[in-house]
Amino acid sequence: MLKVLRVELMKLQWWLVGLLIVAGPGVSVLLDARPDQETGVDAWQIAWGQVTVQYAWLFYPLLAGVLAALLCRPEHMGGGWKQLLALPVSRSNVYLAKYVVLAGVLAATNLAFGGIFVLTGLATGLGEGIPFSTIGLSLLAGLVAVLPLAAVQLWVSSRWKSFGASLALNVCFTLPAIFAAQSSEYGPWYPWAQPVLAMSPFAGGLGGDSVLNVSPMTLWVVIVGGFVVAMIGGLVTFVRADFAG
Amino acid sequence: MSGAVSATRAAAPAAGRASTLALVHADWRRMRGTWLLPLTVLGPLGVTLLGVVLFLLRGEYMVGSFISGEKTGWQVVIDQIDMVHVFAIALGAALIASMIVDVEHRSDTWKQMFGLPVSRARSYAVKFAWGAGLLAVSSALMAVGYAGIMVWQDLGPLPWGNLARVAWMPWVAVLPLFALQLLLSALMKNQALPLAVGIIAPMFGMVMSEIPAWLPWRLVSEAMTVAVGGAGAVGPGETLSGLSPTQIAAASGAWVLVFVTVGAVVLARREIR
Repeated sequence: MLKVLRVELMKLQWWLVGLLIVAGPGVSVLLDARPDQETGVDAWQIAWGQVTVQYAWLFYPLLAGVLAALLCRPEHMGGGWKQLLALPVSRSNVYLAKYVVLAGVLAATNLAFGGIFVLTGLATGLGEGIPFSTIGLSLLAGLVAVLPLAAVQLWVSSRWKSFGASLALNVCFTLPAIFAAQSSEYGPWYPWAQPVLAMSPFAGGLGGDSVLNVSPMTLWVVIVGGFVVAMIGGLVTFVRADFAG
Repeated sequence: MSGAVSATRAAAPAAGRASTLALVHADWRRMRGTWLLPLTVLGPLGVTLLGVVLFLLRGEYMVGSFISGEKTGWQVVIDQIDMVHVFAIALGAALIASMIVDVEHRSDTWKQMFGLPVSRARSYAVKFAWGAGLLAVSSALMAVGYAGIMVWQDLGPLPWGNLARVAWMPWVAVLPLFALQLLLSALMKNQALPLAVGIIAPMFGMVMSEIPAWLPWRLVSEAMTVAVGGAGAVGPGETLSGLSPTQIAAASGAWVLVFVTVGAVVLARREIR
């Protein structure tokens, strides 16, 4: 397993991944950056609420799809699947290794996002009182919420050669999140709305008991349940697939 | 192989070049089997269905403001969907750009295509024209979708002027974005970077920040603001830059000219391996 993981890490185009995980979060933070008159804890909270909406609504879920397609690219080029799977490695390990790398890069993206936000906040003079606990919890919750979506994307990317096709599917699921997230009735049930609900203090507005910024029901049923379904579906499809090309 | 290719190309002009029409036909044959055509129809259909779902969920509340006379029927329809429309057309432009050249990348047909007596610049321009055409069909269908929702919900007489504007203005405004995406997608074999650039676009639409309105990413939401009829698209406290339709069209034309020229020139000079 570890060897397969190491190979995946070697195959990854780090310059490209590095560019994506810095540029995307960078743009989302900088677009909203303006020298504010307000300083202190409240100003930090408001700024965090604004940038997370931009970042987590569409960009973060869509990035998960682009990265999943990127991870499967070496194998889709010129019959790579056949070569890789002919080696004495188990198919499920190959798939799991790809998923672990995907989750790791998504975690790094969130870390970069948090880091860029704090630096930009300091540079634009938000002053003292960085709400590290809010930011930290929100980053972790966003990562957990995006994991099932990443599993779905790896599922389709492992079968589809085209970046465009898997991104088109991703867009179809992610665009409705704009409405789902606003609805207190349907929001908690729609998997693609979870990253923004979990990350943005503006979107959730959840009072009482919440785990990782979403209700326990959403966490266990929608996020964990969705993750299990997508992961098993992806694994079964991958293990049984016939890689002809 | 490469020697043979350049020999063919050198001999080509004398034999007469493929007509533009033939290039248009060739691209049609290539894209028939892909997801491009379904996507062109499914995009507007999806956004319209989203509108239908919205009306089913909170239709009473939304139609209420029409019955009370607070809003026109057009405002009721466009109020919720305009943002999705902007994101969908911007993401659609990136997707179409990627898929239209991915055919060549994946089967390595750049080399074969340019080995033939075909003008590289012209075949690039034809690809741009095809994409622009598909986006135009999408935009027109979107207007049909809006009209459909208005008839279904009985929201008064159809506002032909608004429907026409919502069909053509976001389309004109998205062309620079499409031209830029086509440039990136054609130059890079790996579509991860062009598509990543494409998915950043919605973030520009979400904020009314200080980025100049004539930049490709902002133009689409500017055009939508005009198409909607002003105030509807703007939340409280946000300011409109107020580009006129003529200014939007001019900015769009200028960007398209720049991006398509750059793409055609770079492609024509690049060594294809």
